[in-house]
Amino acid sequence: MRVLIIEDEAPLARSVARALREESSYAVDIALNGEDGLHLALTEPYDLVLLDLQLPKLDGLRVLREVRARGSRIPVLILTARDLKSDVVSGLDLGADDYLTKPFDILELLARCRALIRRGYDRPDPILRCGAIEIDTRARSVRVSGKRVELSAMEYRLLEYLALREGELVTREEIETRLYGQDALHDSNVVEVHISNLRKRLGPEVAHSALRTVRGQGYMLGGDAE
Amino acid sequence: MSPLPLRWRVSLAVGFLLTAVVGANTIGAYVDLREFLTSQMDGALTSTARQIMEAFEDRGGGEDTTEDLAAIAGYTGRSRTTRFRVWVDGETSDYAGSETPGGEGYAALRALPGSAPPLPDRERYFDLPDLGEGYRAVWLRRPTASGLANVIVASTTVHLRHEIEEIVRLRLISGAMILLLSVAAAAVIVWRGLRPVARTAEALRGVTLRNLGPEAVERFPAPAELRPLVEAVRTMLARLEESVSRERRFTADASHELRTPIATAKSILQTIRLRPRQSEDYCRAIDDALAELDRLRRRTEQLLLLARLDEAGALTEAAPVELDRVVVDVAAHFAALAEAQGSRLLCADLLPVRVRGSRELLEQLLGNLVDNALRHGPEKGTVTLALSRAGNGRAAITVHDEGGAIPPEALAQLTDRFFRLDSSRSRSTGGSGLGLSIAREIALHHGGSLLVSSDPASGTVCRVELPLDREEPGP
Repeated sequence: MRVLIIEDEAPLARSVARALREESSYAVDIALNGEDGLHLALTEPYDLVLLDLQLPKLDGLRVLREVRARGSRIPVLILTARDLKSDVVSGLDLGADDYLTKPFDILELLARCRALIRRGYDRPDPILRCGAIEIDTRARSVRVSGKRVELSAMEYRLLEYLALREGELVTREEIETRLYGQDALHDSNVVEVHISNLRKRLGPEVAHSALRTVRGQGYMLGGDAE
Repeated sequence: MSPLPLRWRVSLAVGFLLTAVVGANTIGAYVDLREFLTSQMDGALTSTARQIMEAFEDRGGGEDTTEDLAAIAGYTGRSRTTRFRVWVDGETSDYAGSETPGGEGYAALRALPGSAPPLPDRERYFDLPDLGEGYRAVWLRRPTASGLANVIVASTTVHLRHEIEEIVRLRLISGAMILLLSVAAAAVIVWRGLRPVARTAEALRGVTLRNLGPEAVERFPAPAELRPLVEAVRTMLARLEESVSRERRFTADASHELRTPIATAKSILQTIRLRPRQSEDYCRAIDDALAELDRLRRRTEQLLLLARLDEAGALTEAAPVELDRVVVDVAAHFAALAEAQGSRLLCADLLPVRVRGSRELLEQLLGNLVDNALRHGPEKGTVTLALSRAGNGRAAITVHDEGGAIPPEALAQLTDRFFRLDSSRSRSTGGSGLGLSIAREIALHHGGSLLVSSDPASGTVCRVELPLDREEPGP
């Protein structure tokens, strides 16, 4: 999953980004002002935007208005320290999905991020089931036929993304941009390596039947076998 | 006891005035009318008396003329409203008369009022109040062949009185009606005229912090005298709304400034605590959190200082302060920072001047200006401090940096609390937006002023003017 933080308080943005990376295995980008934030939000595929309201160059509410005006349905969570109800109200009215007042609890922020991302994929249940595979997004634990499987952060990230898009063809480029963020290495091998590792961990019974390679196009988890 | 409502006071005043006017008018009319009717009656009596006198002369003192004379007097039949008596001076019995001896008029017409009878050929008029319902009489005397003849004709005044009473009653009734109508009209006019006050009061009753603003009191048609009041209330509400919304913005901004470092420190510490780490990881997180706490401390102090300055109107503890020394000290304090960022900090033209005030606050003022100049001036630029006399008994400190082009529309807002130029820098290098407003408050506090001017060619100048210490020895 890829998250954009638009926040001018660099230390805050860095620490939130760290929590999102470490605890939720998201790829995180940071924009320190409204202009950069708007540009990134419109050009890169994100699953969630954390938006501060008081931003240099371009106000948070205007960023939000622009994003929605361009037809983007990306979930937006507002982070605000201004004690104005009107800010929150206009934020929600402009199409924000949720808000948190600073100072916030980091675990609450992580939970809200998970919920918003799941809802963005129309999967409100925190447990993703895909055939024999069961993914608990809260604990980031994976079971195959009831047996616990240990995954690396990158493998988990890949599996969760494929599971959220269950039954859909996911291209290698999509995986790269979603899972590695701006600092994607664009080494075409990386995704294949992770897919192959993931198959090994999931075990032979589901490896190829559930996680299929669509030759020359990408990958698909679940869905009807061709 | 509360005074009577205005409308009752006006009504009472109108009532009293009208009563006096109507009363005086009625009394005057009564007197005039009585005089007029009495003189009319006197004329009628006199003409009757003359006719009787002429008839008496014609008959030349013959007997049995009473009937004829009574006919002339109209003393006939049952309507005996006119009585008369004819006699000749010196004779014991009357020549003729309407009264029979022993009757009630008999004595009355003999007990003649007043001492002197009228001169011959003259009339005397008098009232006979004791006779019946009151009589008016005329006494005519004329020398005739039979001697000095007297004629008295008396007529009842009951009709006259009735007539007067009728007219006075009509006058009183119409007066009372005018009085009542006027009192009611006065009450209604005052009540209607004051209704805007009641409506304004009603509207004001519903005004709270949420719906402050001139719209709360509508502009309804009001008498000219009340319009200024309604307008004043509206302007007052507008001012209140403005200051409340400024206060609200200030609170929102202050909460942002205080919550952000808390949020950052909390987020840093919570994140680091989520899993076991290397000890240098912990150290870095603690340092970052401490830096945020320090920022929080600075913001708190700034806000407290502003609150104190707001509360204390004027400077209470003022001591002589050598302003040139303050400039040197502040310059020395910021030298290290300037050097660290490659800027130059110069002191030029430091005239020794003394002002009265708080050295601590003045240091803070200048410090904020220098800090601002170093922060917002160009990198590796020069910040120049100068101190001079402004002429009008004031000292002028200028802080000049080579940055420029603060947009003119932003200049006015520059000293607003939490106002920040939306410059290309990210806020982490910027200040809280309180420095300049604190500087301005301190300057105002010392009876001085702060002015910022900026243009791309010459840079930005913050100019502080402070009144000189009056006890300063002349240069």
